[in-house]
Amino acid sequence: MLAACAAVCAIVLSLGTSGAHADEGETDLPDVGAYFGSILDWSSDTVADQSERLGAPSAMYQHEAGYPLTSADRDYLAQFFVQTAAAGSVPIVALRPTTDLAELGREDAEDLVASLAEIAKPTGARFWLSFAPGMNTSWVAWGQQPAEYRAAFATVADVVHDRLPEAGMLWSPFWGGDYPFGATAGALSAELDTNSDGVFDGADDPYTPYYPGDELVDAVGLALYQDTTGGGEPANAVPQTDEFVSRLTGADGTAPDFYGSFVSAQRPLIIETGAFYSPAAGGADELEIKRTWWRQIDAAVHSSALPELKAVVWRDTSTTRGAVGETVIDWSISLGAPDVRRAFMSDLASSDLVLGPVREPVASTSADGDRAGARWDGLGGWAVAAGAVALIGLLVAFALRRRGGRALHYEGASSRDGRIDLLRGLAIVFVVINHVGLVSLFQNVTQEFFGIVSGAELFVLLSGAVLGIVYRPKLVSGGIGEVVVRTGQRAWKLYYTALAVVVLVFFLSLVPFLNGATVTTFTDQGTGAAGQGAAGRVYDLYATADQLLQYPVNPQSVVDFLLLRMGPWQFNVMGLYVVLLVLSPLVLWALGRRWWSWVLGASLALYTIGLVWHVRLLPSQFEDSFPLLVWQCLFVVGMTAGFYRREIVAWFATRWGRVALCVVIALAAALMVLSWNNPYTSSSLDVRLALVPDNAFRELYGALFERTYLEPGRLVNVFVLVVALYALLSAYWRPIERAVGWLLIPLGQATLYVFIMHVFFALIAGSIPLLREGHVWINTVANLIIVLTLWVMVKTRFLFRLVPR
Amino acid sequence: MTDRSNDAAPEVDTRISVVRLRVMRTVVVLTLVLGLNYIFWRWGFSLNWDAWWIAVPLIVAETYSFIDVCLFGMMMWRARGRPAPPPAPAGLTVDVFIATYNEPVDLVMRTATAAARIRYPHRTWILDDGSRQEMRERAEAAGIGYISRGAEWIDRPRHAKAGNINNALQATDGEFILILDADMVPRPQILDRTLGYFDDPKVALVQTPQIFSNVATGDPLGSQAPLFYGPIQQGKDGWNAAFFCGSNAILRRDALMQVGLVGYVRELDRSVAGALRAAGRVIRKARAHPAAADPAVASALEHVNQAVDEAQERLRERAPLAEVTYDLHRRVDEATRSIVASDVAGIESDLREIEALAGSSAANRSPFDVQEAVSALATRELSPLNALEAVQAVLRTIGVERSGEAQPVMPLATISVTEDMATSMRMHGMGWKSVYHHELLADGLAPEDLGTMLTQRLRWAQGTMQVFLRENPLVQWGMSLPQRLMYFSTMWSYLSGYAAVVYFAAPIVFLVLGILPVHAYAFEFFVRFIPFMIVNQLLFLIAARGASTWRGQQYSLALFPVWLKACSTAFTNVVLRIPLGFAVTPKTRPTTSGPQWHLIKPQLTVMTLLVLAMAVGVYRLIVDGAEPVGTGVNIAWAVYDLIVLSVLFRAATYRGYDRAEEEGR
Repeated sequence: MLAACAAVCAIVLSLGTSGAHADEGETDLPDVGAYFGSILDWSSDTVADQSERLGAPSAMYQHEAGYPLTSADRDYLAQFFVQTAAAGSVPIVALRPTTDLAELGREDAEDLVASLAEIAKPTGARFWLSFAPGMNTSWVAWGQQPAEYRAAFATVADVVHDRLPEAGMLWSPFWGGDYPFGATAGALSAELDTNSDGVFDGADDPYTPYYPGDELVDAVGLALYQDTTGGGEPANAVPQTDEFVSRLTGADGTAPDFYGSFVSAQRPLIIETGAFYSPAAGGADELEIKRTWWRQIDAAVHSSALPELKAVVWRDTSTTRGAVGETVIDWSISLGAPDVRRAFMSDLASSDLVLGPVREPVASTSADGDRAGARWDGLGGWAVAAGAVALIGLLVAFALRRRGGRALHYEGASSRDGRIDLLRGLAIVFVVINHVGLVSLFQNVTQEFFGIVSGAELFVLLSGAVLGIVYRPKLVSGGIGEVVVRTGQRAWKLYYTALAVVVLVFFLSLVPFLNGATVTTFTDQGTGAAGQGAAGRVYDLYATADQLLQYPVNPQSVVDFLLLRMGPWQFNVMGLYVVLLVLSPLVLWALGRRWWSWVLGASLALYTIGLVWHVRLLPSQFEDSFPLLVWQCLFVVGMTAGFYRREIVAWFATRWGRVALCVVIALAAALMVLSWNNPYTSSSLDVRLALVPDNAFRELYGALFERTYLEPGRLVNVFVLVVALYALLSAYWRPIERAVGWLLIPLGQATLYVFIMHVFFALIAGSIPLLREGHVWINTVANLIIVLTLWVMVKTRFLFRLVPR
Repeated sequence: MTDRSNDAAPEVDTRISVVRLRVMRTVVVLTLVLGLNYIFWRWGFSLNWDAWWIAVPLIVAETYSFIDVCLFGMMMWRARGRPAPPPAPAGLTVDVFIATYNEPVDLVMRTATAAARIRYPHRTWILDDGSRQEMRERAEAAGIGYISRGAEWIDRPRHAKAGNINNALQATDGEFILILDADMVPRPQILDRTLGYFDDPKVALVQTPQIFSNVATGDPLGSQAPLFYGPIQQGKDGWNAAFFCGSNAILRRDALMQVGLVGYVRELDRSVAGALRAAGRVIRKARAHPAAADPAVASALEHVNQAVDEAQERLRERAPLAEVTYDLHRRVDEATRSIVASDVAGIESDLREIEALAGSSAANRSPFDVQEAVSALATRELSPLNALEAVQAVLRTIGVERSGEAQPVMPLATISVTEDMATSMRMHGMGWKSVYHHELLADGLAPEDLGTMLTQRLRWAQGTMQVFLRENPLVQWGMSLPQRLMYFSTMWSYLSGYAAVVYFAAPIVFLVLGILPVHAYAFEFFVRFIPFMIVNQLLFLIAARGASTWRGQQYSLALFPVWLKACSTAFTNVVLRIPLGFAVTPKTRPTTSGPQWHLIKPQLTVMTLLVLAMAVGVYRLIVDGAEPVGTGVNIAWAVYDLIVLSVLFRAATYRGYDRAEEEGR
């Protein structure tokens, strides 16, 4: 959730303001051969990291920006231009309209150009502006509206040509073999029906209706991915002979001849590509697929048949992070298996593909624009890490030595453990802030600050713990029957609450002034490539919900609804709870018979099965983000720990227990410091360490800490963190309770209520234009207001009669 | 009722004419044929599988209703009205029991004095479960017997009304017992009119109708049950399955005592067998313990193991229980003595745990939960000596004296809160006969407010479902198949809550979503459905003999939340051992007056949904081009549902019975 819901981010490097301008005469595309460019996962990857992997930077880099630009977009673009300038690469900015094409006017274009001029000129680069790429597809908001698209393109192109000579306009549709990409003739416009047969189908021209005109276009692009799946079931397949060229020129008959129709010496061709490989799917080997593809491209560049193929931009992103409802796809060339990268590098040495630098690198100089200390490396970084470790060591030593004085210790009513409530409060605040998704200072703490752990994991574990604590006495006094009835009732309540929220949000999203997209869609921004290769692809989480508005309603969509296959993504963990609660009596019954070792063994075995084979048990939406087989482990371990809380706490007080506790705390501290090295920064005001090389961190993270399948490192981190925090609260309860208890304990005691309400806050926050601009300080205040409002609502028991707790 | 007869009528002949029976049987056959035709067509040819989530529940609900009708038809097939009974033979001894818990003393005394005035020689007893001093004084002043629970009931299961009557059975000795609720005022001839049936030595029970004198015109709470105390009981009587309804019934003591004794022996059998199985498990576990390596210990365990095996064997050979358990006790004692306790200190804590477990099982649970205590023990790692101790503890708790109960023999069944039905089922299972005597012989008081009425209905339904789950009539092999089906039909009818939910949901689903669970042309549907519906209604009409059954039909649908709650709570009670939250029906009006909407929230919700669905349906018809026939049928269906549910408006606003007003009418 944490990583996935992040906005488009980039690494904060120093923001140079001075530097030599590039020579005006320098061309930005090669005379011989073709540039090799890259699209990176800008939330966690950098130009510097990629050049380390490839031995040299790419010749071009592509980055996306919303249009109109928000202040966050401007920040990221500025960083992007600094990075490419430092590497001597050519930037491509892909503009993704965030409003209706028809609403974009000349003022927007002028604002854009002014901003770009301000950002780009200091770095002295010529660059390409790809306006609304993939406009012929069905999955982008601006797709398949030819007239509106051409007008919007023209508006931007006119202003750019007028005022920004450094920039060239790039027109870049998606390869038309699968045109019209599942779109039906809902509103058939005569323009789309190019062969006038009354049907909008694959026989119509997928490119021409969208072409803005020769005078407006400076280069043509084509997104041409090696992907035979057509958006369906993943399958790994080796490209056929000459597939690249025949698809480009229409030789295989699946699409018109793009090269022949649109490419010329005046308008050279820039290919965007990548090769489909899904680790989970069977079929061909990764190296074979990717090597065949790049060799076909290289051969095409080398041959004289396609002289104007001047650049190939590869989507170098590894998407092992789960995307909602989609298969994990690895398009990358340098991130996946090392043999792929090595093979590519060795092929590259003898190829006509050109790496960077292709212009004079412009070293960034720290100046007034420098956001000092965003990434602390070297001595300063080590000092911070050492300081943190020392502080923790002192706290431990102080707690261990101070035998008699228990002034700071936990003392609370035995019926309800305040420490657990406080921790749950902390977890729910993390969840709320990450789900509302405002780029703010809060995210510095809520996004993997205490370790490589997000609020969701803590939340699931602690919910299990509470269940164990609460039901142990019930099991003893009332027997398993009472437990079954109570958990069953609770599960039923959660289930119908989830249904009610799904319906409510669906109807609220239809209200014109509310931006339902915040909750009804999931934008896969940080994780990049998925689906048809469209970064920032938007998943409609209510895909079949629209059928509920048709008449007659499709009966299947009712089933989808009842199975929770739709709903706000912020809320989908609810389905997981329902299932876990239904299953919990079985676990409690076993725990009651002291079969804890069997319980934990079974849970870990299921976890392992889920982790290794990625088994999906239920069709519900939560399985996308919280695969049941894997996530049950947190809940069951939490339940066991809660059930035996007294015994566990007592054991940690013994000699060996103390030793174990110290080890756990040390591990937690080490993981916390490690997580501070995450190259991912949540905002321009985020502060991170840079003690671990970014590539090394990324590799480690990918191997051990991925979130969706709760990889072992993350699982361990959750456990040690919770034990360490619990120990911290036990030893220093008084000051901590006084400082944050007033806020977190009430929230922690009403987590379900807060969790339900936060969806509506996410909806509201997403509907306020000012907050969507990405001003860190304003959003921080907004986040604060949201958390405090929730607190006041809990305190005043607002709607407590209606909303379950 | 047809015969709210004056007590002057010397003889009542309720026989059913041959012509009437023939007409009824013809309609039954027609109903069955047309119903089968409809149901087969529905299952085979008209299911909309695309919308299985509503289509399957609907066809299941329809099939449920069809089976209900079949059982009703079977009941009517042999409807039996009895000729006037023979005169009561002189010289029988009769005890009249008036069971009370917390009803007002005046109310009880009114019934008691009426009971004392019953013409046939008898003794009258007030069975006061509330042990009220005032009650005792008033009873004694009036020369009426007074019985309350003795000290043996303290800290033991009280079993409500069944326990109260069982207690009284111990204290009295009449050959026959007339059981009356505190609010059932008997008429003086009640015994004269019924004792004659007992000339047949196999007759164990004569049940007379329960009719209420405080019911307002129109019976807003559906208190009278003209279909039940009439055609249904007569129909069951035809199959010798008329059952005991708790009050206004005369029972033969012999039969009751036999039921109690047989029940006692059976349950003891089961409990001892279970305990022996558990003891075997404990011993086997102990033999795996390291201490069992010692030869002396091993041989002692082997000895006990043999003893347990032999005890099981002897039980199978039907050896006397007491002998078997005594021998086992003895042999385990020997074995225990033979082992020298090597680790006394380590054993202490285990022992305490065993004592606690065994002790708690003896004090709080019925002895038949002993297995549970033992299986709890069996999960622990017990040393051999402790295992033997555990076996001893178990054996102590299953002594034949049934220490967990106030009295070892419970004539009235205690497996259900409706002890009456369970008891008569056991009687039928032992070959006793029952009689339904269709004559008004006691004037009852019905609940006068919705809340009390709902509590009472819930209790009946819960009790019935408890019996269903604990002693499923279908497998009570002592009864004939028709008897089993007659009991089953009553239980079956309480499942109607689930069907009702589907019947409400289906029109809403169509009107709002446009999804039709039936996949057929309208004509094909109507041509099968309408004839079936007509004969079905005709059957009810003829069976009811002109009595209004509409109120009953309304309530059987309108009280669906009660039936649902009854089914789920009975299930959790029987399977998960959760208390029912059983409440005694208060017989006086609660002090709070005014409409009691809060009691019928689910029904109000359904009504709101139906009205909204109809509005949406009309919108769909006009704007979305919904199918007119489907919309029409479903709106009609929704309207029918609303009319049925509308009975609750009057019930919720009912202010109680006003005699003056009723007489002014």
